[in-house]
Amino acid sequence: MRAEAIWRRLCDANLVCGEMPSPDTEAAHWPIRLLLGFAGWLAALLLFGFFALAIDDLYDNAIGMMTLGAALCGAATLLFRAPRSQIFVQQLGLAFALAGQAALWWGVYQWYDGNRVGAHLSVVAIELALVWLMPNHLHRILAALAAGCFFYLALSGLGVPGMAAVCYALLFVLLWLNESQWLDRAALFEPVGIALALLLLVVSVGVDPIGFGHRSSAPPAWTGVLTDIATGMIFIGAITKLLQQTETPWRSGASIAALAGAVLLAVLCAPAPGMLPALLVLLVGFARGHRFIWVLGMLALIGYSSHYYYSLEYTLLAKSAVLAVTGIALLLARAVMHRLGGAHA
Amino acid sequence: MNTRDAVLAWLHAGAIDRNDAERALRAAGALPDRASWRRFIDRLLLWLGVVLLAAALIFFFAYNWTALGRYLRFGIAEAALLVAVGAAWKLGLERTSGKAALFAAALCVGALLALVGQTYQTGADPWQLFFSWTLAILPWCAIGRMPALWMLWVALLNISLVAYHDATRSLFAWMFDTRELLWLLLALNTLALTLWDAAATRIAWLHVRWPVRLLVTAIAGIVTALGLWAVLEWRNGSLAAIGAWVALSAAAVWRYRFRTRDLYILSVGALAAIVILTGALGNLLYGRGNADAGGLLFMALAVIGMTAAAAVWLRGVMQESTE
Repeated sequence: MRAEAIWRRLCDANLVCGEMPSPDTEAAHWPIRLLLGFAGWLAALLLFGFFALAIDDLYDNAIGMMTLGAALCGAATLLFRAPRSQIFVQQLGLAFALAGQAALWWGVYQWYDGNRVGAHLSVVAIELALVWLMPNHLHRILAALAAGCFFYLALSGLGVPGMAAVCYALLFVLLWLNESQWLDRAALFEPVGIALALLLLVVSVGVDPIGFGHRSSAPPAWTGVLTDIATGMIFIGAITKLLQQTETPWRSGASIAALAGAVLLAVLCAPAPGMLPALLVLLVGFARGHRFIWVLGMLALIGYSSHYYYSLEYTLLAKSAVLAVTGIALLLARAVMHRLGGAHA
Repeated sequence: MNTRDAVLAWLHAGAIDRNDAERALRAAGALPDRASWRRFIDRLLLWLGVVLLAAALIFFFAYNWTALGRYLRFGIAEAALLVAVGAAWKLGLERTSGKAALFAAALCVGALLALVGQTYQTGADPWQLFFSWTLAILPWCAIGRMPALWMLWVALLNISLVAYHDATRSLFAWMFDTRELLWLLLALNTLALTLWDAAATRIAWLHVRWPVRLLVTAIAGIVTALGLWAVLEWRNGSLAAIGAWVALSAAAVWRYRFRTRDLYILSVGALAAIVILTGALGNLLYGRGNADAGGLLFMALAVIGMTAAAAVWLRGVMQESTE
């Protein structure tokens, strides 16, 4: 829809008045953000390489590396906050910030020496502080992603990696389904919400690109059961909240069907742990009209269907049964929905 | 700019009161109403159900449950195929449910062919399975009028080509090395994109953007790999790779900047250019093995400069689109 048509709708609803403000050319479209993100990461890699070669004496010095990292992050903050800063300055800031964070991580890990969990949690705190301090959309996504990854590593070190997915799912639902509370501060919270969706999918759907799921010993079995139960509860909670937000009466057929379907899906999808988080991202993204997030959920669903083939937890026969029963249940639910005359969602 | 971004931009600019933000999103149509929810849930249940059932069938045959006996296994595979085709016939290809059934039938053909290979140990290479699958579903692609089915067909053709390369490499390694495979994949996907774009001018159901973007992403990935390889290790054929990259970039700008506007495709093209030019710069600075820190700083600044230039250009294109 064109901007003029949207403005007219808002005028009709008495939410705006007067002339439409000119389109904000500074706000980047998502493909441009994608380009800036990839290129910013490449520039940061080169910048970090420059510092690595230029000051190789500093490697063994934890304080030195942390000071360098803090200085680069400080410079990046100034660049991001510069009035009327142009794209070149913003990109320079992004490269400085990412290279600075790499130096900070290095310093923190040397400082903690053998205490891995302590180091992971310190980096989480640093990254969250940077999300707060640096007013750049892309940087906020990347820093929130880093915070989530180190949080996962910390929980892995404590033997409960599965709890990370539960925490991401809970925060994701709480954040997005209460979006109306922070819409005026979207610049801060939206990137965190996007990062949470990505983290939830990476950890639950089972894509482990840098092997950070590697552990010396398998986590206890009870954590898996607890994760499944907690994820199921969050899914049911999200459906309940969505019904409330769409003002669907609790005693209506639609509400009963939606809640029964949510409980059934939570039970059926327990042996396929990536399915429910992907569905959660898809549904919440659609509910908030956030195309990037619901497309992410859809891609995760497709990706998980093929990734599930290689999961070693169950035999192919058991996985086939899980998929078949879930597939039949979904088609039956659709048939019931049509029979009831297109029940409300 | 989509509806949601437009409303948030006006909210940020102070044109919308912060207490009215949620109402504004709803009034602008950025949030789904009951009808949108109904349509969305309907499609989700249908497509997810169909894909999960087809996946279940493939997993089932991959398990190779020999105790079941070959006749029963063939019976299951053929019954599933018949049910899917029957459902497509009964529901009709005009309806989404009919299309979903045809898509499931196309997946069932793969499961059936795999079962034939597994049961009779035909000695066929994997590429023959995928290529037979591609040929078998071609008539359904022709009648289905479904972009997703055509994309499945193109994906199977790509897999057949890669599997063929893997199967023949030991014998004809001199003929088929990885670069030749990339050239073949580039030719195949470029041909698919050209045909799609040409047909889309006449056929309404081809007017969807995602298949074009998917093909362009694949083409950009392949041509970037070839281009990067060419600038990092100059040898026979490098000039052809650079030529292909330049020609495809020019064609993309002509097609997706001047004929139609697609910001995603232009961004992918810009990213490919940044990667290749950075590779060329790196080779120029470090090709002779002189490790110098200043060179990396120069490259970092060059990447930032190129990205900023690309972003300014893309924003200009975006602004033209909104005017």
